[in-house]
Amino acid sequence: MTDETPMKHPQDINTPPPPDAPADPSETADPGGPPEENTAIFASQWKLMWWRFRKHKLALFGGIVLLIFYFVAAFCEFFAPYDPNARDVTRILAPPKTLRFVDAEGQFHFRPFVYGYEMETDPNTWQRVYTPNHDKKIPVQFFHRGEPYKLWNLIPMEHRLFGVDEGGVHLLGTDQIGRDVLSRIIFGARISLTIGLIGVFLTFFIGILLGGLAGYFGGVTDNIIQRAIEVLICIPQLPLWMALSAALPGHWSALRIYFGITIILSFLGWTGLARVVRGKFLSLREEDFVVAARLSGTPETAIIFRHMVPSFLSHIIASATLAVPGMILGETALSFLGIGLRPPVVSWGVLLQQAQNFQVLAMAPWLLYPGLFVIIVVLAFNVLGDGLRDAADPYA
Amino acid sequence: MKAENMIEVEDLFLRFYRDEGVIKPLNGVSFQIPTGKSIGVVGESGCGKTMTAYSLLRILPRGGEIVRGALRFRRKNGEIVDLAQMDPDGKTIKQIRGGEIAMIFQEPMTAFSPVHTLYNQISEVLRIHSDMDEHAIRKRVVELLGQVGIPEPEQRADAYPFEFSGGMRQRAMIAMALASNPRLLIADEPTTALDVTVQAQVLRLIKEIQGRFNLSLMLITHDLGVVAHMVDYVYVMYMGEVVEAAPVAELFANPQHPYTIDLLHSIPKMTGPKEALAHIKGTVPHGAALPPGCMFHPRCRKRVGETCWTREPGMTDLGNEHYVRCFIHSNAVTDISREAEEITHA
Amino acid sequence: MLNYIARRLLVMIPTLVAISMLVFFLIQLPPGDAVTSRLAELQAEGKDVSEAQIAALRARFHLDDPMPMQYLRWVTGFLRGDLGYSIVNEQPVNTLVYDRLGYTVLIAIACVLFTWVIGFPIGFYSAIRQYSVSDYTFTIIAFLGMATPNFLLALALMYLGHRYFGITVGGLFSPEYMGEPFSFGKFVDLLKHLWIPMVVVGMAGTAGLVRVMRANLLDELQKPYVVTARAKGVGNLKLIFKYPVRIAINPFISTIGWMLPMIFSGDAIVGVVLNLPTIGPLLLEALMTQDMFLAGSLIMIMSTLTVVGTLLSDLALAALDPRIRYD
Ligand SMILES: Nc1ncnc2c1ncn2[C@@H]1O[C@H](COP(=O)(O)OP(=O)(O)OP(=O)(O)O)[C@@H](O)[C@H]1O
Ligand SMILES: [Mg+2]
Repeated sequence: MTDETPMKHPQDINTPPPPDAPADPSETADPGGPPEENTAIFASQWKLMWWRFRKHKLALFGGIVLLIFYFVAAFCEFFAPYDPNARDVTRILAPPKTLRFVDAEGQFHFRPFVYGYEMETDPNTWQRVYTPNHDKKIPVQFFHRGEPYKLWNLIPMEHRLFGVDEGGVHLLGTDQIGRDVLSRIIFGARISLTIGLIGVFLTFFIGILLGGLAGYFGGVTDNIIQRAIEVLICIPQLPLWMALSAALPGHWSALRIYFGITIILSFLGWTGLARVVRGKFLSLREEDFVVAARLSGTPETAIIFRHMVPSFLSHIIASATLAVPGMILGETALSFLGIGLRPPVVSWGVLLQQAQNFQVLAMAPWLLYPGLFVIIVVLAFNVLGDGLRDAADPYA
Repeated sequence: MKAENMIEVEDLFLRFYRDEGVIKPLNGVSFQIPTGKSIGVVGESGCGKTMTAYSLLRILPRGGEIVRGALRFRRKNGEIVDLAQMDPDGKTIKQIRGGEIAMIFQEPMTAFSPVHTLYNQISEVLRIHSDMDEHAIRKRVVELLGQVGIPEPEQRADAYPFEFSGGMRQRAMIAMALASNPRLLIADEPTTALDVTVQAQVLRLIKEIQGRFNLSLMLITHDLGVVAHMVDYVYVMYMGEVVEAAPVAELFANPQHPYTIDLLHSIPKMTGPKEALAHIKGTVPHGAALPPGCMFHPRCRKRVGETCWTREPGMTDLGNEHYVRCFIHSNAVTDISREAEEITHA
Repeated sequence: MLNYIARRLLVMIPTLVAISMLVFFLIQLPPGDAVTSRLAELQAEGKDVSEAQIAALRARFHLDDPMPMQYLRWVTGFLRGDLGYSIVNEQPVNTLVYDRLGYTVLIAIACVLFTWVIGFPIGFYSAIRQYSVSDYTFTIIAFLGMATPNFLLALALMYLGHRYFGITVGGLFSPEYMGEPFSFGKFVDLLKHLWIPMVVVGMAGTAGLVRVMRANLLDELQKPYVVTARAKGVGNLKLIFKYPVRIAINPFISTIGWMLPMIFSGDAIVGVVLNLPTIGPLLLEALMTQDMFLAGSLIMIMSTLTVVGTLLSDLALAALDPRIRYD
């Protein structure tokens, strides 16, 4: 509430552009909208969605985090300081090293460094004990030249983002056979992250296809698909996954197992989406613009893909984003139990399997780090999907 | 406050402060309702009719703020209160809501809770605003339902809203509004959602009840045809401003504002409300960016010249209780600028 | 109403038949069978098994019969309440299930209670205090809770318990009470162990509940009937409790269908990690060793419970929502 005296009419109001039409009282207005109205509405739908999404700071942040993760996963050979299978028997279950700028004497170093480790074996328990040696500073080099490798198995390279000449830079420690946990997490990202994407893609392909068929044709098709969905959703998910993945032949190559697991993960996810798509199709079938398109002789496929699908695409994108975490968690769970991906494939679930043994975990809690990355990625997908959903449909 | 008035609204400004900017639904609305009289508020969709009503009851959606203006209301006990100054969660306003000012809503479909019986929802008014016992409440609800023309009210009282037709539901809504003998009844497009035949019945009922209980009535509609039969005095709103006000006969006989004239031209004959305003060029501009000068000028067909978009017209008294906000009739400039509020508020 | 129930029960029959076929098919999918698994196990123990013994085993479990026969035998047994015989465990499935059912249900109910007691008020509070600091805090925690796989939380708790409190987390009883008859001391010991699976398994559910409750309530609070009620002079708290909560609850009722099988099996992976005597780990093991009767029967029970649970929640919804009753 304001009690101040109202201001007089401000004199500096900008003069608007002159009226576009003559102010003729007898003129009758054009009743219809402009002809390009439909495309304009459609285009602005996406623009509106983007505006609304941009306001979701958290969702935007989630999206950026994911971009970074996928970028690192794409070039993991470069970002990982070591080969994921390189073993260093002198450093078994070595704890993480801290990246430092200030040394024990309080001196600042422009180039970050890590301390070397002294290892001894406890005479009673036979456990290895690592103590940082403050005299042994190992400077960390960026674009470090190390073991040659091939990016994507194609391009020979020698440089990695960072590394050390000798002494080891295991920022997240090493595992039971002396492999660098960080490098394995970075390589694991490639598998774990793509399984989510490919899985969701498959899920949505099946879901939209079957849901679309059911909703578009109705009748018998609809009935059969509906019953199939009913049966599928009544079988508990995890056992079904497990039964299916247990059925993958043990002699399959890593790649085939990977695709097998992806397909299994998508095998159940499609039901929910199919129901949504079916509902949309059922209601859209009667909408004016679809009827009009049909009357004007547009082929059915064109009607589906040019008219019907775009009208709920934004929902689908949002749901797809929200479905990825389920896939990633599914892979993690299956691999953790030892019935998903199997070593030597490196995925986050496979890495976590090592932590299943409590004795090992008690000695080397850093083996849980892959779990942290699972949480971050799932979190990022969830907030991103939430933002997308709100942006796609602010009223639902 | 004039003795004959039940409510006086003066210079009401409503703002929504949102991330995406400030939304300006009301920009200096003023009107009054004399006791026992009925007024109509007309205007296109989005011109702020509902927001005006919500302001009176202080039930604005989240984020809505009355930033200026007075809402003087004469209570049952004669006390005059300014509703705009009240705590919207306070005790007094809760007594007034439903107790002294009752409202009928646009959509009888959704305005009732779908999972409670009508009896449950109507009796709630009495539970809040009276100290009747259960027996008396039951009797009163049945009586009310009978009064609004619901057959077999004794049995129908325990039905759920979805078991009623639209017209019956709106009757029940009227019964609910009448439950605690309010003094002012706000009907927000009470018939828009109904069939044409049912519309007339419901309107007749409202009219009859208004006369019988000597209520003040504020009838909101975008249909001038409805207004003609129902009210004594009409306010025409455009973008949160009253642009013309006149006794109903005068307005129809002698409309002055170009907007009113366009509205009158577009009274639906057999067309639905959607096409009703097709005769007016363009659409209502978005509330966030008000046009400078006279807000109607971008769509106006009778612009007099640069004044229309550089200065803000004030209300001109044409005699016969007829007022109009247009430069055709005077050079009067409103003494309160819409822009002033932004400056003082910031 | 009765008509509706009868119709739903009728529809259940073909669904269950289809499920049973699918489950049976799935169980048969992996190469080899339980006898091969058992054989491998025996051989690993250094025992020699003769051809004749293998043949006897196969014959005993009718493993060489044609598939349809095997299916029929399994299904008819199922109908008689005989869940079959676990070849690997060398025990009837009924016994195995019976031994574990009590604890499984106990843990699951504790989880459900935990979820509701914590999740419901928080979701409610978040909704009525939308965009407040506490709303944001709860939202972040809820997101974290949903993003953390249960088994990871279990592992983390195990590690923390070991590292900072020197306790072994896992199991339902301390070693000294193992195999003891039930006593007050044992009961207290049980409570000491029970909270960990309760929190671990309940976590994700709680987080989900908070989100759903908040979203539903906010949704409902915008509905016109809430405005109507406000216009009647209904107070804020009553407004929320009488109207939207009543409707916002519906989605929870519809989770009963999914809750029943969960109560039956418990969270399988957490069961493995925390070494709980529940049915979940039994199922996992059965699947891995291709103990077909055990795995098949367990999955079948869970599926049946889902079907029954869905029916129950539909009925509950109908009872609570007058609109559904007449459809
Ligand atoms: N919850 C809200 N938040 C922000 N702005 C709102 C909100 N509700 C309404 N408005 C704004 O207030 C303006 C006036 O709305 P109002 O509902 O009063 O229109 P109306 O005249 O009742 O129209 P109708 O005939 O469609 O009912 C709208 O144009 C809109 O911009
Ligand atoms: Mg309105």
